[in-house]
Amino acid sequence: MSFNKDIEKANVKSAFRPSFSRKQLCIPYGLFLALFVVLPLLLIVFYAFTDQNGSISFANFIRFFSSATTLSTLIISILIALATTLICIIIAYPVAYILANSNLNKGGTLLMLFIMPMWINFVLRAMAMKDLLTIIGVFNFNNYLNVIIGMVYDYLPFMILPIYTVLSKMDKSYVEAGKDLGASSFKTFTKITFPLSMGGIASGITMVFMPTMTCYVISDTFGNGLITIVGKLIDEQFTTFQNWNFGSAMAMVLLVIMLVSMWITGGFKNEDTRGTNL
Amino acid sequence: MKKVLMLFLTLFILAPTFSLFGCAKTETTSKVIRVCNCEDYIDESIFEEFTAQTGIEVIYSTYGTNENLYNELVINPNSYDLVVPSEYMIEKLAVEGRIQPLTKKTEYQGYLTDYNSNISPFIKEKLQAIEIDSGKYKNDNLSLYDFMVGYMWGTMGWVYNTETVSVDDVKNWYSPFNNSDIYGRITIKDSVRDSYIVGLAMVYQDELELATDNQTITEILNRTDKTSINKVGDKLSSLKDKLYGFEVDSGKNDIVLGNIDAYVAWSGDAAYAIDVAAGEYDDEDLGVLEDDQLKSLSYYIPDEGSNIWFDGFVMPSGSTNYDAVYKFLEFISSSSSVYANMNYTGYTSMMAGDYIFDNIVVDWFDESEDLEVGEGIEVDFSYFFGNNGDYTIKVSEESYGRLIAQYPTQENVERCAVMSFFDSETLMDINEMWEKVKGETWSWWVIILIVSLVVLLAILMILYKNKDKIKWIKLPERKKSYAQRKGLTEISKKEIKYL
Repeated sequence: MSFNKDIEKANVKSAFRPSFSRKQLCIPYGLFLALFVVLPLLLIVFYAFTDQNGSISFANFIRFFSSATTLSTLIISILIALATTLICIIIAYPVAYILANSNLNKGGTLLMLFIMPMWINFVLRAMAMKDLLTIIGVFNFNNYLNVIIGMVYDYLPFMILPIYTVLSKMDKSYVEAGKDLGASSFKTFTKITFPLSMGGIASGITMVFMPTMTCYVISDTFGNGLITIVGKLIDEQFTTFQNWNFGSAMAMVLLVIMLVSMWITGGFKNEDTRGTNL
Repeated sequence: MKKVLMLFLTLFILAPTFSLFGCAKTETTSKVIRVCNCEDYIDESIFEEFTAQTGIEVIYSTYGTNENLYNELVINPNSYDLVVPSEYMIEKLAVEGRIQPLTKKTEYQGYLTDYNSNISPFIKEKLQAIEIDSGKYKNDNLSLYDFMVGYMWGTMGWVYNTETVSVDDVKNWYSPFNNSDIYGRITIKDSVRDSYIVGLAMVYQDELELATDNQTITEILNRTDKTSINKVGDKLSSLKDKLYGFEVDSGKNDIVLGNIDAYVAWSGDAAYAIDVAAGEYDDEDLGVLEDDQLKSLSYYIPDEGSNIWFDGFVMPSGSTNYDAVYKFLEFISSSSSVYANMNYTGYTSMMAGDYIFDNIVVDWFDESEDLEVGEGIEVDFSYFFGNNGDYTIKVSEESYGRLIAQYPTQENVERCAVMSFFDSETLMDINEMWEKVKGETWSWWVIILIVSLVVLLAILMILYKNKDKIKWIKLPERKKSYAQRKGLTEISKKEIKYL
């Protein structure tokens, strides 16, 4: 008898269990997406294509592309971002490689040491770094150099982490096979390890390049306000000059540049970088 | 069971939030006042006393810049009951009808007795001179004075290190840039209004020096025609090589630490920097200074003229919390609150009256007992405190700069101009000027060259990626692989997949 009861109980339980279909599980994220991603983007597009009276116009874009100053600022931002990304790769790759292959890093301790600065507020870190550089005496050479040092310091973990993830997940038997077939260490690296870690580098680049173009806190602190990057221009449109339309237009130009450059470099086809983002 | 428990726990955690919402909704009209002010611009400990006296709780928040505050008020006119913008922003808000007249409401005059009798006659006159003659209140014959309850005021000038910079080097706005010893050790403000007025003073220095009345000076320092804007832009750009940088709040630390020798400062910041550098006050960031770090700083308002500014409490048009607002205004204008706030912020209150003169001006600055006859400088503050008493003090030459930072003399303020707000068209021109000053402007040839290079590179990359699809591209044959050279059969890609 008790057996039957159990079955009954089980039936009752299953009847009460709320059942979600996959589609329903998407609702929370769907809402999030609509509210915090799609809607703001639409607002930016709306502001970008209207003037301050609310009527449709292209004046914002004309203003952006007809001013030598804004274009120069854009180019300078891109150059700073390129330099930062390049230096980040040069520093981060060996570090990630050592971390991934080192016995010391068994419990992720070394990695933790590299990632830990990220947990401290970055404005604070920037100020502290500036003071430190001033004390050492590296600071007063060139404002562009200062800004690049600051950017690299701030964004290095974002480059290390994805490369490290890819390298540590990589199947070591490829390397072993290469060595078995008589390839030198250098050749195994250039033919096997490096190509296989391209995914990590690609996602590192997307995480470093774009923020660097707009991270004006760093350019203000490290450049003493003498270096203007495009993020600062956008900020001033919203805060000082009350011109949300021009600010949105600039943000849209950045967005388009980023999309185009990702499309050209094939950044969309990163199936193999799945899970390497932060 | 577990689920029910979890539900209860969640509700328990959320409960305070719900009650908070309830509070905000029901009690805005009586028991709560929402005040928004600049950071570090009030002694927050006095709120407790206010709550004890009136039973009204103060919900205090801060804003970064006047423009941020403006954005908040545009989005929600009922976000605060009282806010503290600067005079140009008050003017703009009044013209746009976003604030309501405050000091003229007859039914609440009782709360403003203290304020009306103690407000400095000089300030009152200055504020009444700014008429609101356009916008919503165009025909109401109102001035700035009717919209605000005055809080703090001040000037702008050079703070300089007396050991490396002489007074002659800061006599004019441009003078520090004539002294090649301090190149790269000067900062100016990273805020367009402040730097614009400095630029105007540099461009029209000769004209300003000839001007004798405040009206002419005010006219010159409010010029916004295209030629003036361009001239200011060129002037400011030419300074860049001689600057340490642009700053808004790091200047005071930099001068105390010795990174710079002179910087453009608002008077309250100047007073603060002078005190910290002299070791009279320990800054939170800098900590206690060593004896060899102490510096003698001073403040000077350039001779040709400067900016004078006023911050005051205004009431956004969306708020209807009158009872609490006027009680708060009465409290904040009382002598004890004024003293507490001046002591805390280092800025100068707009309130005059004997209590303030005795307890602040005389107590903090007067050195007549220590000085011999014939020594020191005598300063008469009757312009600020009124004509019914003796408001003269005597200070030594060393502490004169510190006094001026808090209480400028009549000669100083007569050469200081109130700066009006920029209308949207002017703002656009000034915006372009400021972009040019702050950024780089390369010649079009360089820009076109770089852009075409990038486009070329992009085209090449696209072609390279699609090289298999496009017939006319023939890349040189690849070097034979190791396997091919050895005559081994190459495993096809498909087979690798199956492996």
